[in-house]
Parts: sequence; structure tokens; C-alpha cells
Amino acid sequence: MLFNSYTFAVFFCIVTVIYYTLPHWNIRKIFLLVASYLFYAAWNPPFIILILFSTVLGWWSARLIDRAIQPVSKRFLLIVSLTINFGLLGFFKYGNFLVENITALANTIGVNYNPDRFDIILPIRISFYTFETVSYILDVYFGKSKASCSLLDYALYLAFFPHLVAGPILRADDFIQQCDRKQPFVFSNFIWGLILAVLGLFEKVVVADGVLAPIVESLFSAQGIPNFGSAWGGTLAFTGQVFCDFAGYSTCSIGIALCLGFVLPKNFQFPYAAIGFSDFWRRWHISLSTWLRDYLYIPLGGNRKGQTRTQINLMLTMLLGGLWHGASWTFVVWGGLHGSYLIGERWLSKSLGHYSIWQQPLVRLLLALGTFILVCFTWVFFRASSFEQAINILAAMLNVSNRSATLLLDSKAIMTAVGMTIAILFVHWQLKDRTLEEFVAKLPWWVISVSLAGMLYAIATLPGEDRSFIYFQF
Amino acid sequence: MALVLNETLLYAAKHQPSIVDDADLFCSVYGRVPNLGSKDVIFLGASRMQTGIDLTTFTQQYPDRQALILAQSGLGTSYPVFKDIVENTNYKGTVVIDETEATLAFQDKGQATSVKHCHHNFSMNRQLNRSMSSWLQSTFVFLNPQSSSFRLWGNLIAERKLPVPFYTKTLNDRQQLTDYARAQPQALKALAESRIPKNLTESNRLPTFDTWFATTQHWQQPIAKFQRRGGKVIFVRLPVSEELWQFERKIYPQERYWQPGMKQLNVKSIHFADYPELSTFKLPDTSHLDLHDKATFTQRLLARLSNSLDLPIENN
Repeated sequence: MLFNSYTFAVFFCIVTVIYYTLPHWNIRKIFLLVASYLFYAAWNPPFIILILFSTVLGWWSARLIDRAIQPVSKRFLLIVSLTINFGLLGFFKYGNFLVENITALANTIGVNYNPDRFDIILPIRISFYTFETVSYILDVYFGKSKASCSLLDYALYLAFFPHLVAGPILRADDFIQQCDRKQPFVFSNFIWGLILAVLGLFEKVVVADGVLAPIVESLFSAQGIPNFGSAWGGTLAFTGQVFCDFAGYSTCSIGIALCLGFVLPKNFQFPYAAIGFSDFWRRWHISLSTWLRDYLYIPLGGNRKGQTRTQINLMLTMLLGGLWHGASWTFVVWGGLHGSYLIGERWLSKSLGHYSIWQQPLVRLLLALGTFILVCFTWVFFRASSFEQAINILAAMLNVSNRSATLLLDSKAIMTAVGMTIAILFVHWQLKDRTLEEFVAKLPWWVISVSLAGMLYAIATLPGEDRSFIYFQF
Repeated sequence: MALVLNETLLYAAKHQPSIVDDADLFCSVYGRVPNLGSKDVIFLGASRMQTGIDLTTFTQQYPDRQALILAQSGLGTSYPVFKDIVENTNYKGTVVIDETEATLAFQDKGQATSVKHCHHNFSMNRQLNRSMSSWLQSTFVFLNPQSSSFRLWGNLIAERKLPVPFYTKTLNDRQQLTDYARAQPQALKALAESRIPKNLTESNRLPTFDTWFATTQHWQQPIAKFQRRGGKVIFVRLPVSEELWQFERKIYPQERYWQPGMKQLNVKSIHFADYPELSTFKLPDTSHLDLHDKATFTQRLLARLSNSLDLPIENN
């Protein structure tokens, strides 16, 4: 069920009314869990079994690890649990990718091996709930948290419908603690939740789908060699679309959870105002970047084992982060580029970081713009359907293409993409050191009302094609 | 209030509600195939079928039969839909397929995407959502993508006038209505001219019959399978404008391609150029019938279909 669908609007109204009418906290939680499973089943009912299996497996594994006395037993349980979780993820998400690559490798070395592709349907959100289960089990294994006594609370942690489809990736402790006590109805929280939901939908429906998606598709869904302006126009449009789509989803998710009394962590902090790439990853998909930091980068040794090892760890983390997004080498290259940027930034920071010039406002602005442009290059690999397409677009963006352009976006589309990019950059730069709450709190009530009415009007009157959230597929 | 103003302005400019013809709408109709009987009819093809067939006329002629339009605009050949009907349903009624000599040779997967969507993604939630969308889209003009607020206010601000309404409209059963009286004559003329190639070049010349027919072989297996279970297949070449036909006739003379091809595929067929009553319509954009000709054309086509497929004309 998508947030930008009529069925979700009806579903949310019914769930909210019943939820706050129920008298007991446990009954409320059971109701929310049932509603969450219904929300998930609305996509493909049989896959409920998978999320139930993952829930029971995660809960029992953590309890057994918690109770085990021998380190060997703990480690054995951990390995079994991680193998099953990553095995499921690997099969559903990377099964065909592995088969394709093994086939290609076999054919390259002269072995005639051509197996059929698996007919696999990727269960929505499998990457998200696998990471949530794994983080919970690892936290219990390393003694950072205790195993949850309540299967109901743990099941709700994994299945809570506002974050069920595309995150944020929650930490068990943060959510399960909120299940301990009844979440009262707080009018101001409810209204703020609704405001966030409207803002998120506006970003998704109007900006991402209504304005930017058609421009993106005219570049990335077409065949041909773009010229300089078209390549930049389409890439800038995707840069805006991917942010508004995913941040819009996250904002909606946080708002809807807040309407039900739950606080979800922030997932974006105006990332296109980042100065440097470590700053970018502190602002972009925060719940994923902190997961990768805590459960991959630091366990690999982080920056504690010397220069070279730090660089290897950074690159490995980003390559796997890229692969998490999708079973394709283009995602791996996307991760690899970010890894290279982070390594380059560390090196530059060490060599030149002590100069005071970097603190000048104009220099900071230029650094932010530089970061943004380099991030744009990475999005080409993220969105392109093949390396050939990505290289054609990048060559046009760098104006080094020696082939004559056959794919031209009209000037209106390019101007729209540039205009939206400037608007997004302006907002991000203005708000980069503030939260949305702080910003809205300073606005007069009528500005908020008129803005909300305008956003609702645009959401209602800008029907476009039905486009799923980009991160839905991960 | 803003929505009321929006709706009022659009109605004042003669905009109309229209259903969004997306994959979910296709699936909502496709989902009815298993309930069809051997007397029912499915229309496959592309936009010419959607604009040419009038389901009301069909129902008047055959009140005890159902007809579905599963043609898809701008997505190439309907072969993937036909193949799926043959392989994944027990339907054994009549399938009327709109193809051209060129699209018969295609095996592109454009229409397969929608079929796949029906099998893998068209959940109960999507069905419910589609029903709600269809009701709202058939009621409110502002939900017509051609009448969005961007277009409304963009026009009002930039040109100081209300936007011109779009001349096509989609119905819930996937019929398309093309009202050329609402179209801008100059734009229509430009569209028509863009669709008629200026010169006959090597690239738009067809190969020999044998070479061409070899590229249509993928149809044979599903047609034979469908016919074995009692289904009837009829291919139709729907009308194009006189100007376009003058050009296409040079490339696809029906006696050299269509007629022998259909014979070898072992199917009945109707080529509009063989029937004067089917070739007298005006098609201002070269390819699509005006909504005012839709009923007459359907009546005439059904009369031809009745002769070919031994279907008596009922209530006529």
C-alpha cells in the first residue's frame, strides 16, 4: 500500500480512529500489528509468511543468544541466525544477479553454462527488515542491549506500517522502549504528524512525480546520445527526484508514526547543503549510513587500524552499501564512487585541512556546490539502466562526447530542472543547521495554513502516472 | 474552495473528466477474462482499437455477450497479451486483433509489461485503489492529467487564458473517445503531416513476402493452440486516412502481404481497404476514428465479423 494512494488514505483514517478508541495498550499494539500485516499483505499476501518467519527467527535467536552462557554457543547461534537472514536476502534479492554473473564468468572462460533465471519476486522491504533484524541480533550478541521479552513488541518493531515499506531503518531499542508505555493522544503531535505527512506527500507527488519524473524519464528511459544541456538537465532532475521521493517518503513515514504516538528517527538533514562527503552521509539516508557505520565499518576496524586499512574499510562499506540498493553493478559503482570521494576527502583534509580559508563563508558555499556536483555524477550510475547509458550521459555532462547528440531535452524541461535544483539547494542551504520543527515554529500561523492549503491543492490537482517510491524496490 | 474554483474554471473551458489509462486499469479489465464465455469477444491491438470500437453498439447488437477492450495505446504489438490469454486462461471465445503488417513482425515486450503487472503486482489493494480512482476520475475534471493545475495556472499566468481542453477522453472500460471538433486544427494538421513519411526509402520498404512472413512465425503456435480449444481469431487492419493509406499501400499492398499472410496463419481477417464501408471515414490525425464515427464503424465491422465468424447479428 503506497502512502500516495486512495486506499492508504482510507486505511489510515480507519486505523487511527480505532487505535485511539481501544482502551488497553496491549490491545492497541495487537491492533497496530494486525493493521501492519494487512498493510503489507495488500501488496502480496504470501510474503507475510516471510516477515513472520523473520520475526520469529530474530526474536528467538536474540533470546537464545542472550541466555547462552558459553561464548561458543553464542557465536554458533549468531552465525546460524545471520546466515539465514542474509541467505533469504541473498536468494530473493541477489539470486538472479549471482546466476547472471556466474554464467558470464563461465562463458568468458569457455565453459558452456547457461542456466535459466529464477522466477523470483522480490519481497518489498526485505533489505530493510533484514538489516533491522541483524542489528537487533548483533546488539544482543555484543551486549549493547537485552533481548526483548515481548514477541508482540518485537513483531511491531519489524512490521510497524509507517516504516514498513522503505524505512527509516529503526534500532530495536529506540522503538521497543516506546512500546513499554501507552502512547497518549497528544493533539499538537498529531497535527505536527499530519503536517509532516502532507509535506512528504507534496515532495513525492508534486515535486518528484509531477515535475521532475517526466524530465528524468525523457533522458534515462530514452535511447540515444544526449547533448551537454540534456545530460545535465536530466541528471539534475534525477538528483532532485531521488531526494524528494525518498525524503518525501521518510517525512510521511515519520509524520504518520507521530500521529499514532511513535517517534521515528530523522532520515534526512538537508543533504544537498553538505560540505564534503562525510557530511553528505551524515545527512543522507541517515538510518542506513549509521547502520553501515555501526555494523560494518566499525567491526571491520573503522579508522583504528592505520591509513590503508581505513581506506579499504571505507571502500568496502560503500561498495556493500551500493549493492544493498540493488543487484546491479551500476549500484556497486555508485557505492565505489562515494567510497573514492570519502577516501579523497580524508586525504585532502589531512593535507590541506589546517588552512583557515576553508572556514570562509564563500569558500564553504563553493565547497558545498562542489560536493553537490560530484554527488550528481554518482546519481547517473544509480539511475542508468546500463554502463553504456551512464557513460554516454557522463561524457555529455563533461562535454567530452565525440558522438553526435541524438537525444535532446527541450529548453523548458532543462530550465525546469535547473530551477528546481536552485530551489532545492536554496532551501537546503538555508535550513542546513536547523531542524524543520525549529523553522516552522518561527513562522506565523497563517503562513503555515496557506502553505499547507497550497500543498494539499497541488497534491489533489496534479495527477500524474502512478509511480512507486524509488526506495520501495530496495 | 480552491478545488471548487479549479473545477469551475476547467468546466468553463469545456474540459472533461477522463480516466487515466494505466496498467492498473488494464488489469482491472484483464481480470475479467476468466469469466468470459465462448460467445464473448476480446479486442486486442493498440489505440486504433480503443478509439474505433464502441462497446455500447456491441452490447446493443449482442445483449447476451460481453466484450472487453484489452488494446493498449502506444505499446507496440498485442502479441504478448494474446499469448498470455492462450497460455494462462481457459478463454475460448473470439479474439479480434488489430495489427498492421509491420507490427505483426514485432515481438517487442511493451504490452507484456502490463500483463506481467497483472500477474505480479495487481493486488487486492491495487484493485480497490483503481476502483476508487476510476470513480473519482470519472467525476472530477481536475483529476484528468491533461487538465492539471500546473497547466491551468501556467496558462492563466503565461497566456492570460484558460487552457484548451484535450480532445481525447478515456472511459472506464478503456474505450477512447476522440473528438476532433475540440482539437486545434493547426496542431492536428501538423500531427497528421508528421505521421506521413515524405518519401519511400529503403528503410520503410518491406522485404519479400517470405522474409516478412518468417518474422510473423511467433503467432502460429498460440493461434493454433487457441483454435484447438475452440477459440476464434480474427485479425483486422483498422482504417487509416486516405493520405496515409496511399503511402502504406505502396509498401504493404494487401494482396501481396496481408491476404496471403493471413491465409498462411490460418485465421480470418478483415482489411479495411477491401471493404468500401470501412474505408470511407475521415481520420484527421491519420489513424484514429472520431467519436461520432465510432458507432457506425463498429456496426459495420460487426456486420463483417458476423459474416466471417458465423455470428448472427442480434437485435439489429
